[in-house]
Amino acid sequence: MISLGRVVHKAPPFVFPFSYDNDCFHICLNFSSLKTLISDPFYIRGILSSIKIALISMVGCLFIGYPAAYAISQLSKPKQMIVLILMCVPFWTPFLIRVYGWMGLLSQTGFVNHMLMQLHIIKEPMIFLGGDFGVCVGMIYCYLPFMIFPIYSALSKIDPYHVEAALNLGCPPFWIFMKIIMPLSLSGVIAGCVLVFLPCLGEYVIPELLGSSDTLTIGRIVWSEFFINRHWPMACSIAVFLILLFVCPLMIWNMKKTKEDAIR
Amino acid sequence: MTTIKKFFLGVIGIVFIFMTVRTFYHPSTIYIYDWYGMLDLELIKEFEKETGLRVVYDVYSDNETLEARLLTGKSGYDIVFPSLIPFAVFQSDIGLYEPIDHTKIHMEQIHSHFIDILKKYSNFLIPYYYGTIGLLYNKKKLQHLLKDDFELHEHSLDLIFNDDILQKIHMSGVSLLEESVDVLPILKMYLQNDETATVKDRLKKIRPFIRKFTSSHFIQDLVKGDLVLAMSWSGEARRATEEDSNLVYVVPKEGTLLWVDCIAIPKGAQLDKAYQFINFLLKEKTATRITKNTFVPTTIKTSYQNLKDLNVILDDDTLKKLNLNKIETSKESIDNNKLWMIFRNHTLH
Repeated sequence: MISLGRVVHKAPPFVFPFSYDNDCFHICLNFSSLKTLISDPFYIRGILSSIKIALISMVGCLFIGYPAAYAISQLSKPKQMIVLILMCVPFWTPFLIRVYGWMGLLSQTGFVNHMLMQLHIIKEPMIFLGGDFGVCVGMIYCYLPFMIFPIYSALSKIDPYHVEAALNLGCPPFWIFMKIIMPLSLSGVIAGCVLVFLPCLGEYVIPELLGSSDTLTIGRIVWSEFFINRHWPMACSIAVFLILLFVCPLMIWNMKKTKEDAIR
Repeated sequence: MTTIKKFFLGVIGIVFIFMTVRTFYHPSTIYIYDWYGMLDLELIKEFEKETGLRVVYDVYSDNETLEARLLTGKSGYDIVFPSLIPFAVFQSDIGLYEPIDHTKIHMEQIHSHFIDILKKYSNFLIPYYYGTIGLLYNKKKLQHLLKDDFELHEHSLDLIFNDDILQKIHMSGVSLLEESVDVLPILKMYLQNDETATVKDRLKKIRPFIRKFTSSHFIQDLVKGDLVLAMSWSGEARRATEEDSNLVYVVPKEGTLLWVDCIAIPKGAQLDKAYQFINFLLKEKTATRITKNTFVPTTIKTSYQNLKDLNVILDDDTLKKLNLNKIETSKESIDNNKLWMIFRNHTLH
């Protein structure tokens, strides 16, 4: 609603597109911010670079999360509980403190550099922070459980008899994974990817702390539209645009899937 | 057993309710929202003792946080300290503040220079903290890097805006302040040129040599050795030079910006208590204490006599030479900000 409003010099700094006076209901939709958003390469570039970082983090999470979830699902029930709880424990500490922890680990005088130097792998301390690398590490760390849990729940639902039957019929392990486990856990993978990708896309804090806030991310652009330019409609337009861009395809996919399930 | 349990639960419940009510409803409480690290606890206690009011003292670290609170409606604070340009000016323009009754406060305490520069906004704002934007650097390291050139440029903006100089020192780390409003006007002063093309051209030249943009982390980076030179606020810089004798703060000879943080009363505040607190701030004793603790000078002229050995008070001639930031129109601000973000993102063409 705000995204279709007008910017004014007032508090709050916008007017709603609807007004009611003299018994007359006015609708004045202002598309100027949406237009700027689409026509100005600045915003598109910001969105693209955010998508890039979110994609890398998502793939990273998937590569670490899938084997982890698979390993957990192979354990006995009581052990599964213990591992899952252990996985959640770090998330009881506040998010910010964990990110600051990574700042300590990855800084030029931090633990990682220190270890690498001691092991004579590198001679000069490496600069991890202040670029996309640090941001992706932080994001993968913070959003990993969102990947593991859905995959784990999908994997644990797979009937072990399917795998046994395939083995009996002489299927090599690689193809068992590709033909049985992978397709059956696909819903978990997709759910995990969505759960990681969407928050990564709009993430503001991690790039700000672990990156060099010069990385043009959507979070940063929205922040500056809100606070520096005081252009709330523009900030809201970016948010609405993102929702349209990502949530709508997901909803369509979801609806299609429900229909397919119903037919079955 | 159950009766004992019930009894204890009841007692805990009553205590809890009592405490909640006490926290949220205290008839003589004043709510203050100030910059991080400005007032110390003892000063606040002193005020509580003097007036019998209870103080709730919250802090913020950037103007944006304050403005967001004010813009969303009733902030619940009685006194806030916004920076004059571009924040306080905009905020008083759109009516976020109560007009100030000058008969109720001791305006005569305030340095006339600041009253003059704030004339237009004196209905809503009282100038209080002030300072400059300058260069903070590790003198020994910079001398080593620049050798003979050092003396020529040690007080000059060449250190951050001249690409030849930057080329020699950038490996050791150079940082600029984070927002366009703090840097672009100084660059324009240095270039003595307002045209966007010239500014853009210069920004393009210096970008490869700037390691960081930070308005708050530069001190720790300078001390750790990640940076050798940082654009800095005077207050923080003076505190840092006090702790690390290698660090030097200079006010550039080409001129720089003067920043002023004002006292303001948000709409809907408890006026009487706010005036009491303002008068407490305007006292010589309070101002002296604040400057001694933070190295940030206040506009209270009577406090200057106690602070001669601190070397933070600017004399009248220097003050007259310093400029306040220009008030940008909203289009100018949007354009500048966009230019700045593209510049920071290495994609200025």
